[in-house]
Amino acid sequence: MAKTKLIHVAAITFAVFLAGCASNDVEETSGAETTETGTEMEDEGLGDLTLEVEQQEPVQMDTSADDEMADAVTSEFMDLLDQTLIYFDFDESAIRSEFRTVLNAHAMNLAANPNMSVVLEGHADERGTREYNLALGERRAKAVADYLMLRGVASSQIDTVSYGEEMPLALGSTESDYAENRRVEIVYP
Amino acid sequence: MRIKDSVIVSLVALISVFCSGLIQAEDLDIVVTRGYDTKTKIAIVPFYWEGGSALPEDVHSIIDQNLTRTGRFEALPPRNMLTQPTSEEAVFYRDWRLLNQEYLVIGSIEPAGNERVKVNFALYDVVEGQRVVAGNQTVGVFQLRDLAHSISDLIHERITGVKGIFSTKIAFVTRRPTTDNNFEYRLQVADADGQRARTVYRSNEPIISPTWSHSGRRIAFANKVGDRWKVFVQELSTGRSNSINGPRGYTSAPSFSPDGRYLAYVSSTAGNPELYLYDFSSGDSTRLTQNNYIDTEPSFSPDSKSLVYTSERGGSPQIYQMDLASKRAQRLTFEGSQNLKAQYSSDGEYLVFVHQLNGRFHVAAMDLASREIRILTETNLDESPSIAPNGTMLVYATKSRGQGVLAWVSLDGQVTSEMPSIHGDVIEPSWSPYLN
Repeated sequence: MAKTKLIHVAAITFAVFLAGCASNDVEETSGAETTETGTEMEDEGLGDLTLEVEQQEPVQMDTSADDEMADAVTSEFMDLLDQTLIYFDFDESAIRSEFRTVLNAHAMNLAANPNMSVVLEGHADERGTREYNLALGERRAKAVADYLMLRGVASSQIDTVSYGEEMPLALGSTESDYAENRRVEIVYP
Repeated sequence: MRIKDSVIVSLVALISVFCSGLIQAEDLDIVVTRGYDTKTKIAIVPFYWEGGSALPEDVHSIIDQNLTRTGRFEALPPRNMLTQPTSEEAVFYRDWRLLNQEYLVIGSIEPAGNERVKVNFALYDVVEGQRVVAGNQTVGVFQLRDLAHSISDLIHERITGVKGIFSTKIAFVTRRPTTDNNFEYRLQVADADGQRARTVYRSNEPIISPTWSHSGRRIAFANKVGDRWKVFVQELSTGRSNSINGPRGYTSAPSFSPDGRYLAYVSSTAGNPELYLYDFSSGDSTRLTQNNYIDTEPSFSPDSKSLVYTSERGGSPQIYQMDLASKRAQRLTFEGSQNLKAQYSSDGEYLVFVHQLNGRFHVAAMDLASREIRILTETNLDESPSIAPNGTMLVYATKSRGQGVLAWVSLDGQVTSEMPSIHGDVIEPSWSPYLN
């Protein structure tokens, strides 16, 4: 099906991309599990895609080595797309290097699927005023948007919204709670 | 007596303001957590009630709590009184001097028929041995709390020379979890003591930055609506509102000009949070800032000619002041790693704002002449300071035991009262102007 193919295209492009850049980020993610593709897909949040990939399972059993590799890359790619939280330092909106691989995967996915859209939700921790944190959340969402657009995603595919400090993931007031709350959530509607 | 007449006129005016809409009352309790040494000692004798069934309000307790909350007064507990006079003939100054009291308040309440009562009250200077003021007012039983606030205002003004703020209001936002894992947000308007809160706007998405117009008739605030934030300007008497929002980004941080002509606000529709000025008469908005930095939290000077706002153009968020005629801005704060959300005192002589020191956030005040900064609060995560219209105290939001609460502090920084909510967080307080 069309969408399944596009995911494969994005994944294979992604594999080529990974092979081309020898950074630590790549090594961190290269050991990802490639088994249980079907069940992992269940957790995707990409409802229609999940169904279509599952339908491929019969083909998978008697497939060639090339296709197996393609599926393995697809699985790793889907794992990366599962990661939808990008974290930031205090009062910062710079993309930390450890999130580039994840964002590259999302960029590939969106670039290969021009009809797909994404909402980037920017958040701040509770320190500082609500208005300043509203501005900071927006700046973080825009930093992620800029990163994705530099990698081929059209601006029309991206919507950004700031929640400021209003929707924390962690409700405590420790440093680790704050670190969890300074984030951009990548949401596929 | 001339004074007495003018007092009664102002009481009538006050009460008429408060007759409207006392729906959805939700009381909040006050806990005074810290004290102050050189307080004015005042004895407020329980008002004698001549009727049968109990009254809905305890007038002397309301006056006691109002005066105590300012940090300037210490009220004598009724159990420590040698006598409890209810008329002038029974007042013996010697009794009150023995108890080291400086002032005495007495009063009585008598039925006036048709759910109405007549309240008599008098304030005495115990040291001088003379009556300061006396008055009486007939009100509906349900207006007793308003009358208690008016009497508190009168006592405060006669003793300190500064108009009281007990008949003003405070707006704030409450946030409580709902059963479906979301939150319900309510914009509420309550008495200055936090009592009789009523909901004026509600939403399932965040509400922040409520602020009063200088007439006290309108409130502006920001509400997230889907993937946008809009500024709403709501007429309190009718509930009608207008909104300001851009095609992209967010719109927030409203501030009315004291002359009533403009609403300053922030919009990121041009890509970055910038200050704008909305003209109520023309309906046009003018952009005030243009740079790649965050500019937010505008607040007008009392003469409406300049704004203070938060900008991080110098690398960290600091307070700047912009002259509206020249559009020139100058930085006002240099101490502390961050300074945010400034507001002028009503006399324009100082600013209060949020000050970050060693990673903690406090409320601070800066004298604009000397540029000296004083830290007023000791708790962490203090935000949203809002000054009372008489400049003697401010209300702010902080966290206590993991919950958002409101707290008061006097401008001498030596008294703090806390207002815990019955349920949910209380955030973003904004003190009204005088309403009469």
